[in-house]
Amino acid sequence: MNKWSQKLITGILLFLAAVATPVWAVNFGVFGDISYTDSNVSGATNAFALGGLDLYAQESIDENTRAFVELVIENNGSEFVIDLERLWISRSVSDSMNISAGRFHTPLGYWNRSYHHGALLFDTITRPAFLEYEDAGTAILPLHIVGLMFDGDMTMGDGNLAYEFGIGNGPSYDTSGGYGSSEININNTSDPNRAKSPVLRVTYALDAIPLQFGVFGMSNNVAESGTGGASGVAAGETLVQQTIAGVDLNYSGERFDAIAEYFQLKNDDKYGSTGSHTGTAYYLQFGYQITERFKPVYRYESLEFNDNDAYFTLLGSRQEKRHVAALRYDLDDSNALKLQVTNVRPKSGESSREYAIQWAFLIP
Amino acid sequence: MKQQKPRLIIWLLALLSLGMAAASQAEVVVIGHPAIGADSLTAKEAARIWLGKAKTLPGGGKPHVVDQQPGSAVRNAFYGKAVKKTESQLKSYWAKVVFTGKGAPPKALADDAAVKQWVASTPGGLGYIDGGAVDDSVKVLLRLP
Repeated sequence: MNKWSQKLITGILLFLAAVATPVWAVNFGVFGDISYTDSNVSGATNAFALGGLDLYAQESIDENTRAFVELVIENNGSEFVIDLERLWISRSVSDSMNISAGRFHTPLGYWNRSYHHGALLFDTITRPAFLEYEDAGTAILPLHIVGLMFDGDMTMGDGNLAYEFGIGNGPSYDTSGGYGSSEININNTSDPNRAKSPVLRVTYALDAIPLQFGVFGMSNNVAESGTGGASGVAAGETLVQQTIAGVDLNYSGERFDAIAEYFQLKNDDKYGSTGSHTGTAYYLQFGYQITERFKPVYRYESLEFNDNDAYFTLLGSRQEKRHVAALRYDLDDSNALKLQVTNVRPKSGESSREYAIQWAFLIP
Repeated sequence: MKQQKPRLIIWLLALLSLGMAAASQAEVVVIGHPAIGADSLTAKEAARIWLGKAKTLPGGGKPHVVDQQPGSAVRNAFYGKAVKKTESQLKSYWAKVVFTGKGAPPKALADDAAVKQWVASTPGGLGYIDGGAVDDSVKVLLRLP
């Protein structure tokens, strides 16, 4: 048995052990996907790819308490690894407040709080590039957070007002291997400094029409987590003082739907002398359900920032725009075929075109 | 004697069809706690409540709902008539809701008597039972013939 197989089996056993008592109370499911990709990038090869295999379970411990665990088995480029994506316990303390502790998807906008790691749940094959998770090359946001979350909702006027407030370990970055060589660190079990990151999202959903607005914000002291890194600051020291703010809008009609999200990242350089800069990221997505099974979707994505922005320099990000056209065909409620063409237009460098086919499924 | 056999079969078939017809036309009744704010529900409102989409009752207050056991006739009838979903569709629906952390399926009680008892003793409680099991301990909100 090779090393990854041992890890896989250990992970599954731990997962099952975590959720197995009492079996009758557990809601257990699996999301997965298999894709085929190609592109016109010189030297790129076409390939089949296993997407992340997502195992999740939720158990109602008592009338007011729920626990949730989500593990994803995925390939990190060289081998399969098991990532603990979400783990939380939540207690309802009143009709309008739940208190939770654990690891969550950060309430930054609509996409990150609605689709999570389930490819079947969204209409395109890929997430917006700037909303990729921390281990992806195009990631720019701390989309997971470890700490406490307070959420709830209440009727207000002709709609429903909901809030999510979290506070947790701040993100960090290891510059030991140089800029752009690492990933945003979520700090699951420790934090390199004492600064904690607060995050808030407030949404209002109308009763009369399926329209929801959201506003959100987060404050981070992005710390150095390596020693002797390229930044020249000690581990635990702040690299970038960051404020994220944004708005989101979601309309989900019988046939037509639209999602729009806008993020602004104000980054104050604390390891160099480039000062403060503000970058913007946004996307607009439209879908139309032609028949019960067929749905074409179009999305426009944009990421722009100052070339001297200290945060994007750390990450090694590139400015780009993307046009994404996709066609989804639902075979039934639990599996769907998707086709997608993505046109990537970086600010500098050549544009490229990517083609992908995906079969996404849910084992409920 | 030879002529009585077909007649017997016809009678048996007739009785069987009557039984099947009665079973397929059994009335499902949505019941609520006696003090619940709503006086009635539409099938669409009931569907939104049981799918966790409605946060408040038409007459105000937060709904607390229970299900019956998967595979039971009354559950199949309720979800078929009010929610318009099969057991398989329901399973996929709740899998997605659970995954997104937005809720959990209602707990399932053993039978009509258990549902009626729970609803009668739970403020804001809602359930569904066979029409023949209704009594004064609960408020009838919707009849699904």
